[in-house]
Amino acid sequence: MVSSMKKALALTGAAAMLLSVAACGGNDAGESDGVKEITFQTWNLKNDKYTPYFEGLIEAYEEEHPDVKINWADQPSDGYEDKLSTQAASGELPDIVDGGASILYGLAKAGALMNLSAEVPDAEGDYYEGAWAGATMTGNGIEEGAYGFPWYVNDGPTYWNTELMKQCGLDPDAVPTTWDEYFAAGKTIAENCDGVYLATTMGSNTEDYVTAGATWMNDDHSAYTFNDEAGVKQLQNFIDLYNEGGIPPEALDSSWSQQSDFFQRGSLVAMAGSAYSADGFKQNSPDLYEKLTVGPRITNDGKSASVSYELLGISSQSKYPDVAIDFARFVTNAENQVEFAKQAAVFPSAQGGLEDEYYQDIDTSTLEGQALQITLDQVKNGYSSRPAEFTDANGYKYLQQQVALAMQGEQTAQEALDKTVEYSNERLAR
Amino acid sequence: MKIAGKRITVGKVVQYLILILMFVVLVGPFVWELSLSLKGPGDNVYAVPPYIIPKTPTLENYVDVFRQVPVAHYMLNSLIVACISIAGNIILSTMAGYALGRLKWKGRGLVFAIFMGTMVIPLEGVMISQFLIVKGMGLQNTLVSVALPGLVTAMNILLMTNAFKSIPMELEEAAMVDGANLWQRFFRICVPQVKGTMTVVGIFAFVGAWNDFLWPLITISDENNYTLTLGMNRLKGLFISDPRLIAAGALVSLIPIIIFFCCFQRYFFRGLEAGGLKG
Amino acid sequence: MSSVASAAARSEAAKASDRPEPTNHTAVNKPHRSFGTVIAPYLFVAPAFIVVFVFVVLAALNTFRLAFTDSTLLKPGKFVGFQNFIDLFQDEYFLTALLNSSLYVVCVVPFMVILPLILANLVKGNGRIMGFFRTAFYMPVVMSAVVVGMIWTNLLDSQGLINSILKGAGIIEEAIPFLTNRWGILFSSMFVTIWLGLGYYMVIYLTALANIDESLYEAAALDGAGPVRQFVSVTMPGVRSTMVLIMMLSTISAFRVFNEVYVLTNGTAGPGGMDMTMSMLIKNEGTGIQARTGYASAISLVVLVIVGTLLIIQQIIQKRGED
Repeated sequence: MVSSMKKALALTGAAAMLLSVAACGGNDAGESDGVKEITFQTWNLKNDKYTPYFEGLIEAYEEEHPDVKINWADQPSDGYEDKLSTQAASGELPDIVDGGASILYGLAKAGALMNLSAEVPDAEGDYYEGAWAGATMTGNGIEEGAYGFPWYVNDGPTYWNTELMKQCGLDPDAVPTTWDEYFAAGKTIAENCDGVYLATTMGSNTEDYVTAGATWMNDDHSAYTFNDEAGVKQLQNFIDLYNEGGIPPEALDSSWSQQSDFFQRGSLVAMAGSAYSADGFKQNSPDLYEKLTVGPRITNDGKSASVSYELLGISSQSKYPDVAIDFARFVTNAENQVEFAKQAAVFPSAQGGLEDEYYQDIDTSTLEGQALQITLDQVKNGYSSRPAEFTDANGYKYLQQQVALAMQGEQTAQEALDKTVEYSNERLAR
Repeated sequence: MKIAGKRITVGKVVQYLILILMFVVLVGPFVWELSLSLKGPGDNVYAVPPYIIPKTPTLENYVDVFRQVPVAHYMLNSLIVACISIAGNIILSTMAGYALGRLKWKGRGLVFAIFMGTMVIPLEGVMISQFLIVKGMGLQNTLVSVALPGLVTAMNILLMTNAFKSIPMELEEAAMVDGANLWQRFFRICVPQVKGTMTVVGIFAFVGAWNDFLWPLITISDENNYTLTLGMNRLKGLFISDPRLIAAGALVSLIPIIIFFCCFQRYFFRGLEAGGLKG
Repeated sequence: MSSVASAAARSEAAKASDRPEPTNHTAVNKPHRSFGTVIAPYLFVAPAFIVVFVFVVLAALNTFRLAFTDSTLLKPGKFVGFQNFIDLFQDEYFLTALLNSSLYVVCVVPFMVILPLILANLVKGNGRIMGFFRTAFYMPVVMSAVVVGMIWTNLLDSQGLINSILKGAGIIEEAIPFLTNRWGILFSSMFVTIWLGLGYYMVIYLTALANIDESLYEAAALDGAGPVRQFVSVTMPGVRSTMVLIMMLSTISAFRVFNEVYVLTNGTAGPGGMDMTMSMLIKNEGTGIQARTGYASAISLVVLVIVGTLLIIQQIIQKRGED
């Protein structure tokens, strides 16, 4: 006991230091018999549906590279960022980590990830331009470059409840596609229906502004600019929609999953979902599924700005960076990406992936097929409007809060966006 | 309780009415969860208004839980952690509670204040430091490390201290007259008096260890050492979630706690009778 | 905590009447025994103390150090003196959190002290039926926070069960904004806290009720005291020290409330973050890859000071009441 106490006492000092230094220790993967062992960490992908895919992938790679052993570690659904934080703070970041741009940004900024543009300059050509751009980070003390290999891509259509559309005076065969049409639909619904709302979209996401002509950030990523005329006008539109009764008050503090609950309960006419949501509706609310139709995401310039990229970052402390990079590129090559994308109703980011024959002839007789087709078109010419540095902690959450206050009439649209820009700029400098 | 037989009066009726009302309020949500877990693919989970009786009742969700999650294996891990935690909390907090509640010694006030202080410290930001300590001991990724930070909690020490304090002085004095030494007084006189509180401490330790999610997530990296809460979290799909499956998983995890509670709840209301003071 | 003074007096008495151990009425090993008496308390308390010290105190000391730096999780900070504390009092969310957490203590603690006692009183006894009710009433405690959140958001939603029933009965016209208005959310969370706490504190009260001599109730009944008067004149004095204990425990947990507000607002802390509590603020600032550990540690330190002060005040008042 006493010795363990002494040990622990000595440790606090060490702990304090460890806490501050990004990655002191190395990975404890050892080189036994010349076998190079690396850890590949995914997030919530080990289950009935995807385990066989990943096991096959690893087996195929190990067969080709007998000197390599891949440990597949998958983290459960909840608490992923907490787990990653601990791993990073204690120098135990896996060789390959799965994460979205804003998660990887925090790691990259602390020097925990490799700059892949510098490390493997030839990789850029393997991926679609937009995908590589989505992985590229710049400005504010970050060496410009991609800090993750682009992996699967996600976006989705707008789902419409045709029954409610008819009931509330809208034409189910002509779903709104631009913001003017969208807000007009909101007005119609508010006039004709009680207890039915248009949707929960309310200006808490970057794409809600960018698709209406606002510019999120300046070119060198040194300042936010979304409090421009188009941005303020768009938020004002949402405020008006809220006041007319087109947005449920619950939306002001709800999560995405709860919004989908509202839609499935039949309180919302429309919902911005993912391609795979169709399958979920079929499973959980079969009655609703029958009444659904899909349209593109609402946008004024015909491009979706809600495309999001999942990335695979490489730890800068990796013992076998070459192996880690090689395996990550293997996972994200066109062939392997397409196979995964098919199973999960997401999309590949590797060059040529979208030209796969699977995408040439989608069966659009079902809702799932229609959703896939629309999303495919969006992914092809769309982009991600949320810069990596606009993380939850550095502005995204604050935006949601300020928007909610504006909806409640506590401040004007201009004030809400000005405050958010000021807050986010201040965080940017850190 | 003796009067119960004679007076089936307004008082009794009111008592049971309140009990039934509380039952509905406190257990109702659980019934809803149960109903959800029994709903089949033909049931609309989001129906308005919601309904309790499944239209297409099925046990398929439970079968799925057992197929997707190695329930027995993870439950065993959770049980090991829970046992360590129960033993640690009961033994350590009983000992500490006795010293704090019935003995006089130098430094008692300080130690008591430190225990109190640890209850007040917000633990939200302390977890990474705890992990580094566990890691420094070389215990990360073991079941022992899951139980360690909660091996004894200040709250349980406080409960035991309070329990020991409420034992009437005469009891121990009588024993002292009979010449019992400190250890004998502790084991034979005082501990039997606080069995009820010890059971409560055990329950709290069990529930705490069983339901903990974040700490096991942080300290465990090997799936073989997953606890049940970590394993059940896998039922939440990344892309599509089935609420029925999650409900079934939640209920499976609850069963051991409910059994444990059922078995031990009768000891709560057992204090002095066992000691025979009233006799 | 029954008063420290009276406990001390008791131990004093215990010591005074400590007598040599007359196992066979002749041999007395006095020096050894008194050495045992001196060292025993430390032996009793040491194991628990070591665990708490290593896993909580040591871990927390780091927090105190960080509170005076501008550290983030992955970057070492430099000493900044009291800058974090100065920033805190200009942080609108800190002031909101301070208000909300304080309101929580004021509104929740009285219910937590009284209601579980009444409930425990109703389910005491050793019969099967009471055992069943005891188990049933404990159920909310064992449910995971996520499930609790799911259930209550469904019930309290503007189109949820409770609003539907009230509307159907014609009691209200507009839905009550349980989950959409700053105060609605705060009071709904308090309600859920009480709902969860009932079973939890009931269990603690049950052990205390067992210590009340049944004959006191019989005597009171003979005097013609009804159930209410018996409760006030026998039960409440009988569990006094436990009531104080629960007051302290519920004060601590009310000030540090996290789960209930978190799940009812999906982690957003309400529209505009106006339902922020101290623990949510610590979690927001102090966890995640970009955590501002220094700033979050400063908030933790403030919480420690505030709750510590509250407890000391409660102790003082309680001691006065006993004298």
